[in-house]
Amino acid sequence: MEFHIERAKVLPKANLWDFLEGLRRVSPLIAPVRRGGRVAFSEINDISDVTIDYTRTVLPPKKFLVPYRRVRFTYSTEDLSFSSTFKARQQIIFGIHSCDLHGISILDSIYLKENPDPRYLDVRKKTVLIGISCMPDDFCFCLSTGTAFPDGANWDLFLTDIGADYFVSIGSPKGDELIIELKELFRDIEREDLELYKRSTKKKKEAFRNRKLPDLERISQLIELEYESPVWEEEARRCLSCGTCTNVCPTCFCYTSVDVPDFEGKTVKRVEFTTSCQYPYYSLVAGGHYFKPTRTARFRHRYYHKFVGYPYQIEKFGCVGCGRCSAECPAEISMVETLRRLRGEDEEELREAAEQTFTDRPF
Amino acid sequence: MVKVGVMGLTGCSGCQCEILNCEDAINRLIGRVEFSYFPLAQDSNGFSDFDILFVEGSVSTELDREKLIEGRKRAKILVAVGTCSCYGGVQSQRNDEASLEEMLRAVYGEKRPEVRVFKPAPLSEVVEVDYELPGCPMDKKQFVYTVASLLNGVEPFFPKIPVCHECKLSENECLLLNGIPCQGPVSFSGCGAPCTAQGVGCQGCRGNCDFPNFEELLSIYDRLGLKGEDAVRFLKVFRGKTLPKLKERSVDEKGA
Amino acid sequence: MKKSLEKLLNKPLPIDPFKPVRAVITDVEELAPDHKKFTFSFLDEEASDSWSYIPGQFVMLTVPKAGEIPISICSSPTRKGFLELTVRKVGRKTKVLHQLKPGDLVAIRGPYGNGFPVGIMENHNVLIIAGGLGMAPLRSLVWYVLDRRHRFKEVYLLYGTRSYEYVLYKEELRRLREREDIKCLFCLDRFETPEDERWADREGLLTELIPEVDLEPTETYVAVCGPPVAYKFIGKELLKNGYPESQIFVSLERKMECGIGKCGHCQIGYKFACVDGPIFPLWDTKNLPEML
Repeated sequence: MEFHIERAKVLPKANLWDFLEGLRRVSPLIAPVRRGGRVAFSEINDISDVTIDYTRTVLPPKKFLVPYRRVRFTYSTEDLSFSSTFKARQQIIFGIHSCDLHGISILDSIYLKENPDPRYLDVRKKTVLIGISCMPDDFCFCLSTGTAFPDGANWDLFLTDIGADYFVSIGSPKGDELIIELKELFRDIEREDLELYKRSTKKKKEAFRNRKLPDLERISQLIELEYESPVWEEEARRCLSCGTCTNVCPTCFCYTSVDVPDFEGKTVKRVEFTTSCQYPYYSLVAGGHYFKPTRTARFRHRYYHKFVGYPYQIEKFGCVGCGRCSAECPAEISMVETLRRLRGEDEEELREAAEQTFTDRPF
Repeated sequence: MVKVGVMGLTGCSGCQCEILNCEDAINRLIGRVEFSYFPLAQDSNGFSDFDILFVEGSVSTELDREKLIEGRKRAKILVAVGTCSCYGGVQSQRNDEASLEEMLRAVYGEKRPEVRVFKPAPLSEVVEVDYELPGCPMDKKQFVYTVASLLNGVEPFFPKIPVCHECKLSENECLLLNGIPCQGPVSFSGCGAPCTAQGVGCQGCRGNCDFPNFEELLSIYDRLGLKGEDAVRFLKVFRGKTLPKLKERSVDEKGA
Repeated sequence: MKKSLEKLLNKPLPIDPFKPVRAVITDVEELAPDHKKFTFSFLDEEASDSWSYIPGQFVMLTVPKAGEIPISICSSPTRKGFLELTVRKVGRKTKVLHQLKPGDLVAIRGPYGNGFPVGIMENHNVLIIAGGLGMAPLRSLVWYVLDRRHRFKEVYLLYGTRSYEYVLYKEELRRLREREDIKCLFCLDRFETPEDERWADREGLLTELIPEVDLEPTETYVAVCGPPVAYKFIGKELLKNGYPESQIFVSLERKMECGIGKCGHCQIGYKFACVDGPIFPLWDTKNLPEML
């Protein structure tokens, strides 16, 4: 009997560039591009610009779903008619790591579950997400957040590196359509490919072996109970309130809206821009009261929202372990370290002790 | 017709030039707005009442002072444009270190200028200022937005968020993490972070963001090798008086 | 792909929740220094007919050229055909709003938020406690209850302000006082003018009025709105007098840009004031950090 799986195909690595070229023929292609010491998701004109060997981009691919500055409406002051020139376009985002795919799933929940935003839905419907497997660096902790692998997230194709080939999982009809469109580049799965694919999971997990990973068990309760912990203030002392952590976060969504009139006072643009809970004005109400008046309060709020707020709102952590907030922080504040301190310095000893007890048992 | 004035005190006139560089905006403004006073740009100038008066430069001579006080009397709205008028500018960075006499000697030797001079000061030390548009030079987009808002009877909205906001959203590499002293985390954004995009650390020309954490920034500078007085002077170039006394770390003082 | 997530994407594009409907100002009343009550009616008949709300809900009001502000509705849904908002002049947007006159256009979207649990309050006593501008959202509740009076048991209104000058809806409250079916107790912070004395039942704080309320606490729902600093004291006093924590509701304000859980500004602990509030049970004020 022939070995046959319809949920996946194999893309020989040699065909990757033809695949990208093929994608670009279908619709505008966005992929990671190396610029100096950083990697950024950019629109691709020349596929030789694409880099697949990267750990993390500065900004997540979120910027192609929700631009950092966007005009919501233009309205006329004469008759107050609101109009929008917004038009979603077809696009393919290639080369997204698992954590960022999970990040997009979280955004999907935020924007689409309650009071769905038609603009986001429009963009999302017209966007194809193609993921690629990756290996962690010192900042990654996706294994703790359960986002190291793309299962459960909203994506169309996912390429897992299995040595000479990519194991291409098909996540949606849109993904399948692309495979059909470019079918000459793929071959069917063989038993050996499946074995390699299964092994790749273990390989990524093993890469985390000697890294510091935060223990996120009962983290929501822990943060609520440790709300008054001095750790918050100690860590917040180093915080510059620069907002980098939220601006690079794949799940942060806060924005501020401003109405900008023209000189004649005839039309007004309603502009939305990404903001951060780390900025004092964020919680400032007219009259001058700051609801989050201290740096500590703002610093703590980010953790609180990620690990208590999101679970309440969308039943998932708001953190996907991508490590951007720690990697980009000018003050080198580490989320993993803060969480570890919050749990208590001797956490590891405790665990070791527990393991010891376990192995000491005579049976 | 809305009467607008543009006045220059002690400064390089760069901000007035920036106003002139807003060509599209000025084209659209003419017809609605009369530039009744703008000596840098036109020959005939009347010094009558103003709906909006933009003032550039710091106050450092008796003449500056008189002009400013008179301008304030005649202006419904007075807007300080540029870092000199908002914070005193680079010319005031050593105000707390040297006496006026020492400054004069350093600049003029034994000669003395004909007008009475004093230490350069921001407008707000002399008169009440309605809005401040800092920057060296001020940002054209902010100027246009401010004019549009004021013409419509709306106060412009400038949350004092740090330069890091615009820098990071432009996907620049963090200079501090690459060993380059940068004032981005403590400086008021709105410029679009052009310096950091070119690999030059932010010089803080737009002054402080809300509740800046200078203490932590200084300790980062220290790690980068920019130490003690040098680090403070780096921060003082554009901030002048607005740089608070940096003694000990304090997190939970009002708003911080 | 998870089924639940797939479902999110396979829906047709919804109606834009950010798009407001047009309304015209029909009346402006100066209630107190810097406090004005605006009456609106919708231009579009369809919007006018379909517009319904619950006391305690709010709208996002577009002040032309200035921007959007969240404002509690102060009229009652039992009175149809118009909408009233009481606004204090306090920031850059309300300053512009206060210059508007009857005939001027605005845009409104909403109503948003949960509102007071009027359904479960039925067949119970209702104790309404208002401090200062907090009277605005509670005025909606007062009229809702009075217009459906038979559904509720005893009704009390406690209202405290700085001085008589700052009392909102003066005439209306005077008439309420004469009614038999609602008991009104008013207080002022300090008596300074004869008018102050004529108006109030007591000089002092709202908390001092609470023991004067003659209701069976366990049979009572309490609605509180006022300056956040007062909640702690009012809450304490209510609990002392035997009102159950789960039956006390407070209304909170936060900075808001969207009203529908998208902008993030109004987060209180893990909740959003705009979708999970702005009415919260007192229990929440103990469990959500930075609530008060």
